[in-house]
Amino acid sequence: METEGLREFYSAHQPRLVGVISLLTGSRAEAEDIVQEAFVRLVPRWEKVSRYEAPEAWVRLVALRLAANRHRDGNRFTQLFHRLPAEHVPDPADRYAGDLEQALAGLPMPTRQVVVLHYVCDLSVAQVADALGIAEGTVKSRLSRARDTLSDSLLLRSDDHA
Amino acid sequence: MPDLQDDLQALADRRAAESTGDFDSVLTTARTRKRRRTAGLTVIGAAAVVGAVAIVPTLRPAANNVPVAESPVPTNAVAPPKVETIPSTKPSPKAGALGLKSTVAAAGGQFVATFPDKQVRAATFSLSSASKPDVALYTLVAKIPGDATTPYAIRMGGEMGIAMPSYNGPGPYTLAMPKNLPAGSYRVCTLSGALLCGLVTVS
Repeated sequence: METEGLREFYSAHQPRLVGVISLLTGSRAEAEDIVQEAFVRLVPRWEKVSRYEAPEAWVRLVALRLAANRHRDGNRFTQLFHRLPAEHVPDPADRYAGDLEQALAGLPMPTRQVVVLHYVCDLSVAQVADALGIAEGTVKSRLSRARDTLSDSLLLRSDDHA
Repeated sequence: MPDLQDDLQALADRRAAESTGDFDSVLTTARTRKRRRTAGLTVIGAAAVVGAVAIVPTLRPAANNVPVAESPVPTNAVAPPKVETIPSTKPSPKAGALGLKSTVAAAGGQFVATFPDKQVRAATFSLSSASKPDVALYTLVAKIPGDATTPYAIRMGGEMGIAMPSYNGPGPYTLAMPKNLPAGSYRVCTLSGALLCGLVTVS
């Protein structure tokens, strides 16, 4: 197995993937756990996946599905990690980031996935639809609802903060 | 909505910067799972082999007394039942000649049998076809003095339950051929004492 190549790949993509998944889970710790699991599943398939045009897309999709499964199942593991560690509690200086994270957490998981893939991972509507196996129209409608919800929520909070 | 995109990316970048990863633990976990999977498959494979060894002899056509080597279950090596060969009739000793005063008789007719050795024998004889001397067709009861019902013939397998007279004598005995007996050559033998036989032709 090409361990060094895999190590480099891990070093290059693991942090960013944790950041992406943490927007879905609302917890960096849970995101780290999910990303770790995704990479564990990558190890035996590395020889094959490494030949893909975008191996990071494979790992991201695995992590995305793991996050969705944990959210749906609501199992004990999720309950254990589905809380923000103390270090992540936004302080007043980071109020906007905390508000955005909370507003994102208020979205349904399918909508959150679309938002993260489109806005954070820079995937087009067609690519998001292909990755999630849904219609492009569904992606557009979810993005629209997400924009409305997030705007309202953030504006209200901005008013409160003001 | 460029502001939202920028904000989300900035948030993701912040979380990414805070993240800690351990590549070695990823490798360790993956290898441990592989070993467990291999061990599991080994156990399943071993179980399958044991099962096959147990099942194959069961499904295989019984080879009677051929045991399967090291089979964990009883095989089909069922000991065949002991069959004792009991001859239906004792091996026929060499028959002496039965004296017949007439070797030709009609069906239902009578003939006289004598014992050249002058030995005392029962008044019963067997009648069989000359071509199948081992298959008795009738038991012939000779004429017994004072018994008007004699002589007569008893069909083997047909008229069971008829008492046989226990008369014994040195002969000669007068015997009666069964009625409706097909024409042919028949063998008449004694049923007691040394075996004496003779051929009678039914015309």
